Formats: sequence, structure tokens, C-alpha cells
Amino acid sequence: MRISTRQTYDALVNNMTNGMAKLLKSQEMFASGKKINKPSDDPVGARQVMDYKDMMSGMTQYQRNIGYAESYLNEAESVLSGVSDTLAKIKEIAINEATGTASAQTRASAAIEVDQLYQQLLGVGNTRIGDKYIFAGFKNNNPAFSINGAPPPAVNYDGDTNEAEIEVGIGRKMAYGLTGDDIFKNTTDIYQVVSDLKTALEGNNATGIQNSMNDLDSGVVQVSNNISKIGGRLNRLTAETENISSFKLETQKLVSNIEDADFAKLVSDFAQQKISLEALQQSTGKVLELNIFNYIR
Amino acid sequence: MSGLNAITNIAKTGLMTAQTAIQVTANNIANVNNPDYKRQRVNMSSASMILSGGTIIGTGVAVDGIERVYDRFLQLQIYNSKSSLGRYSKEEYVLSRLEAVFNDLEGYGLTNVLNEFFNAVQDTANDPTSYAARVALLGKGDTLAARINGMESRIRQQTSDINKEISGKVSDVNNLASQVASINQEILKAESSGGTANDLRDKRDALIKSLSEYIDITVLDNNDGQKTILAAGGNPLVESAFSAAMGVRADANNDGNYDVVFPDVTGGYTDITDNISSGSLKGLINTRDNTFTPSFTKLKTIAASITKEFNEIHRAGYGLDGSTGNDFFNALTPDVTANSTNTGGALVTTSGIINLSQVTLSDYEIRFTSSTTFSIVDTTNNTVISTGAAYTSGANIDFDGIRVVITDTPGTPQAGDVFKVSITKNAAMNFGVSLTDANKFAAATQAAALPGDNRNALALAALKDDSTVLSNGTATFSTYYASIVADIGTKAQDSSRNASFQDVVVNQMENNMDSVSGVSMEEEAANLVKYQYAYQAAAKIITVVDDLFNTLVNLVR
Repeated sequence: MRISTRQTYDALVNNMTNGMAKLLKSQEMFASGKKINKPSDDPVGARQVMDYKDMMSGMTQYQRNIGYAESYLNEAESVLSGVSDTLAKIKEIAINEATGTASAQTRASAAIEVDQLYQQLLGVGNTRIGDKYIFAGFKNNNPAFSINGAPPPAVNYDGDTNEAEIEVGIGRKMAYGLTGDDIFKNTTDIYQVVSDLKTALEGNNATGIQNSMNDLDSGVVQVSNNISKIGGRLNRLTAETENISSFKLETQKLVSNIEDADFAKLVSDFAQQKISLEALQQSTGKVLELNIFNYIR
Repeated sequence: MSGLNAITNIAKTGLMTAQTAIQVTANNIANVNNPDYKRQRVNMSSASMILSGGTIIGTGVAVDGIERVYDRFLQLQIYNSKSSLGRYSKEEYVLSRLEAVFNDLEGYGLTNVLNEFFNAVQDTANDPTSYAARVALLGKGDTLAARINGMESRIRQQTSDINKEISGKVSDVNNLASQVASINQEILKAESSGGTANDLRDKRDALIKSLSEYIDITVLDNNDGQKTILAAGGNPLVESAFSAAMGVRADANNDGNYDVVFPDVTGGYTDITDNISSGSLKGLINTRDNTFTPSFTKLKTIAASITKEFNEIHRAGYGLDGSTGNDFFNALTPDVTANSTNTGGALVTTSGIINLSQVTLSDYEIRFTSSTTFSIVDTTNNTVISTGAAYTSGANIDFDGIRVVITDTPGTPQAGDVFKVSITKNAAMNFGVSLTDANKFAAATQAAALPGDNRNALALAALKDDSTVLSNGTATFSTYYASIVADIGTKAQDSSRNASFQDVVVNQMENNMDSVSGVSMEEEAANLVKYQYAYQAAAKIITVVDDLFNTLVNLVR
């Protein structure tokens, strides 16, 4: 086939520029560490990467939500275990003052002690974290319990019965909130029981003191049931978090597989392209030296 | 004597011919690097024979002509492949610009800001009384809005750039066409006295090659040496000394995008946009109409959908201050425009959304079948909403949650009048957070359950994964958006591959041409030597004849 002079030069130049272009493309991947730098590099892979990263962002948020619920539940658990102790102490007092060895005086002083413990229980019911009353349901800007003043001092629950929820997965919510109603009043009205005990002690009323003991037991059970409920929720949240962590890890691996440049291969490709380009440049030099007019005198 | 003279004459033809040949060789050598040059060669043939002394004897050599070595078929192949290359390289460039707007891999695009916005909604759901969380939410809403507005503006700018470039390319085509027409004339004049105007033909081929990059052309040779060029499937662009001037025209029914128009015999113009099949003009038109416009519409649809779904849930909830019925994002408004071809005088006086939950985000047309009846068509889904409705000036026209009022000012509507209604048209441009007071963010579902009620915020957060919001109830915001990116990426990759491939093809075609018409230094060098010998030998003959003459003269002394 006939080759014109221009063709020769053009071919030499084209080959060298193509070789250089390949080298530069490898370098671009070195710089970013990724095979896919824009969607057109690999549209299918890019779509998958986008979907995975979208999922991981959602996962991270769920972990945040779970962390928020966990700190609430941990706080609730620690104050409620205090409640169990307080109720145990009250029961001990009741036992002592129900026996024959008690007198009007011992009962009177016991009443004062019970009153202190009563205030303590009220304080727990109105626990605040920051500016929120944690046992008031949704109406958490006001104390959950208030004394309504009508004798004997009765305690009103001023909160509501809504349990706060968080989102833990796509379309999945979990309730974590606790209401003071459930813990302190519902089946056994603990405040009423303790208040009645105090009244009985003040009135030297042995039967009253005796009656309160069963109710105190029910109260203890009620509180411990709620503590178990908290424990159950914390366990579930831990399980969710762990699932999410391993899911994120797996998804990150998938993203890396698609997106990350294989450095070992890149390095060897680059070395090969460099050698090839050097050979091209040398041979181009030799070809350019050939000139028939060197030989025609 | 006549014999000696004859020999001298023969030698003379040899000298002249060799001289001409060397001149042509010199011309070839001088033009070795001229890319438009086709090598020339001298065609020689024996001069006419004569009868002399009973035998037929030759009278030397004559130059038939200086031929331009050229293969017409190869030239046409170059034009075709250049057209394709022009198209695909333009598409590659334009799509790479669009891709940069949607490049989520580098942190542009919508995915990240959308996720961060919904994460902020969840943070507020976790802690609805936290002022900090609410303020952060408004901030992320602003970031989302800025990104959507920014993308909208960039796409609009790039589309405008495409239209400007179409106009520019049309001017270039007209310019080249008129140059070809004038060279046609020059060639006609130059060749009227015989011979071929090789350099003018080279120049004309170069112009036509440039022309082929812009638009698809068919090149026909006239018998008189002129060429006729038909463009975009048969429109006569150049005919002898005349060239047509194409133009551009804004199409009001296509968002003001330019159509390419060709002058017709009546002095008007016909739209040839769809007839252009190759060249950079095709690349521009194709990407504009088949990638830019649909992607733009989809971006607007996402903005409209986010606005509609979010506002709908937000209005039903309660802020910390007990307020309700507030929009979070700027409310959607329908854009209603009268077709430029309407003949009646009726105009739209008011339009708005009356029931957000019934809005479908489709585009509609209110078509008047007479001055008193109209039908409503959903043009996105090609369904008829109502037909034969009676028209009263100033009455409410309600459909799919939208209300439009048309009145007879300054005149009545006529049959064939069309009004276009679109919710999505300005949705991306107008997208923004309308809520300014963080306390009014409606996290609560019931006023009685304030301030800890986070159920409305949870419902808003759940929109992120709601797969019924788009694509006729099959896509979430993210998946709908991701499909736009994937589509652009695929088209960009395709055009890039096509451009590379076409580059190789053009190279191959040009090599084929060069193989026939290109100057080879070695060949010319050898020719130089060859013709030099011929010259020397012819000169030697004259010396010999001179010698013979002397011998003859000295015979008779």
C-alpha cells in the first residue's frame, strides 16, 4: 500500500499521543484512588454505588436515633432502680411499725421518715433531663406529677399516655418512651399507697399500716416490670445497632469493590504503558531520521 | 536538414516536458505538508506521428495535462465520517458538561443534600423541643433549596449555550456555503480556457470538508466542474454560484429552543430541525432535545414532588407555638400560558391550587373546541380529563386540585385555542424554604400532645423511603433521581465511545485518501532524478545534433 509522507508523520504522532493519553488516564486513577470518577466511566456501577451510599447514609442516621433512645433508657433505668430501693425501705418501716412493739411515738417519727421518702418518689416521677420531664409522655415541658392539695394529698398525673418512637430502619419504628402513668399509678397507685401509709402512721392506725404492705409489694413488682421492659428495649436497640454496623461494613465493601481502583493492577499497567511509550518515542526518533535526500547528492 | 531540425524539435519537446515535469515535482515537494493538497502528476503521451521518408516516425513527447490524483469516492467517505465525528464529539462534550451537574460521585448532584435534609428531620423527630435541631433543619432545607436552584440554573444556562452554539454553527455553515459558491464560479472561469484548476479544487474540497463537520451533506458533481451541495436530506445549500442561507427560529412551544430553518421558494422558511441527521448541529439538537430537556423536566418533577408531599404532611401538623396549616417549602403554583398560535382573545386571569392532595404533577392542556366548549387533557399521561365542558367567562375551571379562571378580555376564545397548565415548569426555580420561624416546624400531630409529640416529624422523615411519590407510584425521590444520573451517564459513555470509534474511522478514511493523493517524498525524489536524467539526455541530443550539423557543414568546405 502506498504511504504518503504526511501519513507517516501523522501515524507517528498519533501513536505517541495515544500512548500518553493512556498513561494520563492511569494517573488520574492514582490521584483519586477510584475507577469511577464520573457516571459515564461506568454507568451501571455508578448507579449501584449511589444506591449503596444512600443506604449507608440512612443507616448512620438510624444509629444516631438509637443512640438518642439509649441515653433516655439508661437514665430511666438508673432512677427507677432507685425507686425499688426506696419502696423496699418503706416496706421495712411498715413491717416494723405494724408489730406490737410499735407505739404512737415510733409511728409518728416513722411517718416523718415516710414523708421524706414520699417526696423522693415524687421527685423521681418528675425526673428532668435537660428541660424535659422524661416520664410525662409528650407533654414533657411540665412536671409529670403534681399534688392536687385535696386531703389526703392526692397526686395527679399531668402527662399523657403517648410513648415516643424513633425510626430504626426503613419503615420501622420502635417505641422507647415510658409514661409516669404506667410506672407509678396505673395498676397500683404507688403514691396513693405511700400517702395512705403515712396517714395511717400519723393516725396510729395499725390496720392501715398492715393493709399497705400488700400494696407496697404490688408496687415493687410494678416498678420491676417496668425496669425489665427497659432492659428488653435496650437489648433490642443494641441488637439493631449491631446489625446496622455489620450491614454498613458489608455495604462499604461492596462499594469499594465497584469503586476503588485496583492499585496492584494500576501500577503494573502504568509500568507497561511507560515502557511502551518509551519504545514508541525511540522508534519515532529513528524513523524521523530517515530522509532520502541524505543519499541523493 | 528537416531531419536534423526534426531531431532538434524532438529534443526540445523532451526538454520542455522534463522541465514541466520537474516543475510539477517541485510543486508536490513544496506542498508535502499541506493537508488539503492532492498530488499532481504530468500525463505525457507521444506527440503525433508523421510520415517521413516512407516510414511513420514519432515527433517527441507532449504534455497531455497536469492531473490531480484524486478518488471521488474516498473523498465522499471522508465527508460522511467527518459528519459523524462532528456529531459524536459534540455530543460527548455537551454531555460531559451536563454530567458534571449531576455528578454525585464527586459530591455534586442531589443525593447528599437530600439525605442530609431528611437526617435533620429525624434529628428533630428525636428531640422536637430542641431549638437547635429545628434551626439546623431549616438550614439543611436552605442547603437543599440552594442545590436544586443551582442545578436548575446551570442546566438552563447550558441549554441556552447550546442554542447559541446552534445559531453560531448555522452562521458558519452559511459562510462556508457562500465561499464554496464563489469558488464554483472561479473554477468555472479558470477552466473555461482548458486545463483543470487544481489548487482551486483543492481549496473547494477543504471548504466542503469543513462544512461536513457541521451538518450532513450530499455532494454532486455538475458537468461544468461546479459542485452542488444538498444539506439535511436534500435541501439545496449550494447550487453553482448560489448559496442558501439557513437560519434559526425560537420555538415558543418548546421553551424557546431554536429550530433550524431553511429558506423555501415562497420566501418563507421551513423547519428542517428533524431532517438534520449528522454533524455537530445534529449532536447539539439531539442532546438538547433527547437528554437535556427530559433531564430538566425530571429535576423539576422531583422539586415539585418534594414540595407537594412535604407540604401536605406539614400543613396537617402543629408547630411548637400551636400554629398549623403552614407550608414548609414555597407553595406550588401552576404556570398557565396561552399558545402563541391562539387566535382568540381570552386570557387567564387567575390560577392556583385548591386541593394539594389531588394534585398529580402532570402537565395539562385546556383545549377550546369552540368559543363555548373546551376539553381538558392530561398531556403527560395522554388521558382526557373532560370533554365538551361549557365555557363561561370568569367561571372556575377545576380539575385535579387546580383551579384556572379564563375570561373574555380582551376577546372570546376561538376553536383551536390552547392553554397549557404546568405545575412542574417553575418548581425547581421557585423551590425554597418558606418557613422562617423554627418554632413553627410542625413536628406534632396533635395540639394537645405538644411539645413532645414527634409523630408528624416521623411521618415527614418517612417520606425519604416512600416509594409511591414518583413514577406513577413506583419510585422514591432518590431512586427517581438516581435514574436520571444513570441515564445521563450511559448517554455520555455511549457518545464518548462513539466519538473514539468515529475518530478511528475518520483516520482510516483520511489514510485511504492520503494513500492515493498524498505526496511521498521518496517518490518525488526518485521522480526528480528521473526527470533530471531525461533533461540531461535531451540536452545531450541537441549537442549531438549540433555536432552532426558541424560535420555536415564542414563536409563542403
